[in-house]
Amino acid sequence: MENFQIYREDRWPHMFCPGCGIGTVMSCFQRAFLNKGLDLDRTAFVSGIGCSSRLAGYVYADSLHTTHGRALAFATGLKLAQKDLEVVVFTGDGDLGSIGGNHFIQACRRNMDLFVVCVNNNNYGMTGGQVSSTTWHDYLTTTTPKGNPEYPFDLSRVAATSGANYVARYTTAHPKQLVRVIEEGLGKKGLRFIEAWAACPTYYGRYNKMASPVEHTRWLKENSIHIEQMKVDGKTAEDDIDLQVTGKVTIGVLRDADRMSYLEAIQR
Amino acid sequence: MKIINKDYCKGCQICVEVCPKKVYSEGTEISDMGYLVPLVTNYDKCIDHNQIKKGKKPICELCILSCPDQAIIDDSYGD
Ligand SMILES: Cc1ncc(C[n+]2csc(CCOP(=O)(O)OP(=O)(O)O)c2C)c(N)n1
Ligand code: SF4
Ligand code: SF4
Repeated sequence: MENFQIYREDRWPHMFCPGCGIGTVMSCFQRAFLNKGLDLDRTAFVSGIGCSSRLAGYVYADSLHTTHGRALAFATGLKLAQKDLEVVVFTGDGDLGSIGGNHFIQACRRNMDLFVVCVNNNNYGMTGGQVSSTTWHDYLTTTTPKGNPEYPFDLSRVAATSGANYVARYTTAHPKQLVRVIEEGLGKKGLRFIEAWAACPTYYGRYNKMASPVEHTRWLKENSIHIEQMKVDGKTAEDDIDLQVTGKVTIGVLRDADRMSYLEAIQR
Repeated sequence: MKIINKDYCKGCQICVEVCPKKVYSEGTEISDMGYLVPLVTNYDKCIDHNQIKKGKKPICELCILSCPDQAIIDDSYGD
């Protein structure tokens, strides 16, 4: 299979650091998009600001590079004006969960017909590795040199409890699973949220004893636990929250609902 | 054959790590971009190579999907 079917080879090599997980998310998205047989001319890409938000500039399709945190607001407007476009939002944990937190909650609550891919690298990569709303407790960043005193947001749980139709989370150490859930999500309506944990070896990795891409990828693998395994272990949602704080992130499909989407509701 | 594009590879070594059959090795040469590009040293062992030989679809593709730089292709796939 050709590597550049939806991405712009004229802009290659891309700007991301060696081993940056954003690139892996790009490969997985491309594969799922092609498997699904979607049309680039019927798809629009929207992103905010951040390394991960640069992704929209690499696709061979119409894209909107908007302001920091506001991708979902722009995307909502676009979707309402052009109802038959599949609107895909590429965003980062800072863009979506920190500055854009309220847009995120409201878009999920509305079950707006958007496909959202959040590359969560647990810090602000673009601006130099500052603490993010998803940085793990006690982890080091450029702005938390003694360890992060805060606790992280669980973006997928926020999406699920706010009303998003489909929510799945995997890491870049699980590329095949990522392809599967992206494909599954692309076939649904309402707000579909894919959270992809990704390596940021340059900042998050370097400050947290996993400076090489390989070490960071191993960290992602070792620190994730499948939701089905949680059930086997007899763990509850409460344990899940605790697990994230103490060192493991739940992966898998966290919600798969069939609620009426925003567009369906206004077109009744 | 699996081919690594030296103009795109950034030497992250993720392909070496993820391949279950140890098809790649660390490499010895520095590319024009200044990165250590892995070598394809064990292609015979590649799961997908053996799938294609049997006329079947690729099932592994871990290296191609994991590579953050779209640097790996397998020219025996066709399209
Ligand atoms: C209104 C505004 N505030 C702050 C910034 C600076 N800024 C640019 S990117 C960024 C963080 C991006 O983090 P994230 O979304 O996690 O993306 P990453 O770079 O980690 O992929 C910040 C704070 C900005 N561009 N605009
Ligand atoms: S397809 Fe699988 S077995 Fe073959 S080289 Fe890639 S990772 Fe290794
Ligand atoms: S995964 Fe890709 S970029 Fe990284 S070393 Fe292998 S070929 Fe190069």
